[in-house]
Amino acid sequence: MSEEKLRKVFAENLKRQLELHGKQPVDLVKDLDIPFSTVSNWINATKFPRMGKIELLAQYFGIKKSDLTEEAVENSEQPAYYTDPETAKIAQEIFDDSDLHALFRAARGSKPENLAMAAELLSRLKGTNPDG
Amino acid sequence: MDNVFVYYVPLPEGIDEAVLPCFDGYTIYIDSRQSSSGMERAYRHALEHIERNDFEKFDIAEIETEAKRRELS
Repeated sequence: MSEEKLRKVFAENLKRQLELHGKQPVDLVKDLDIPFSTVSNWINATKFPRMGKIELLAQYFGIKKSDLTEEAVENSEQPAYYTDPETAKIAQEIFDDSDLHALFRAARGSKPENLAMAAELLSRLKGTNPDG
Repeated sequence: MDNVFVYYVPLPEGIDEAVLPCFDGYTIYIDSRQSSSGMERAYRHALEHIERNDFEKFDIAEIETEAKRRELS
């Protein structure tokens, strides 16, 4: 793979992981103490990170280093929003529930237990709010 | 547009906002632990669901994939 291609692949993978985890580039600056200019260079595919930074990012997202450095294989099936099928199932159940019928802005990688917890919380809040 | 009631509450990790119909409009719950720009993004996301009549649709994956696509464009 050419150097330019490596940079582009990394940039796309990094953007995908940020989206999956509901993060913004600025979160990398704050959480990992990486200069903004460095993150910007990665996102814009103008620079490729050193191996130490790839390891740091992989740990941060809880993924393999190759998830950042290797070209992703596109899934041709119908795209599912949530990456965890159990989360997707719970989100659909909450939406189908006539008492709640709720939609969320949640990270694609949200855990099913967090969505279930949110549904429980919404049920309780709905019962206490004057607007119902 | 119907009435929109907004509440700021701590939501579980990874969930920025929830919106649901109520008897005279919609209620939006925004995670109070995020940054002000995150809250604004969450509020806009909720309003778009309302304006686009997403509550009349059926498939959550389709609704959220489309909402995310709009956010990124």
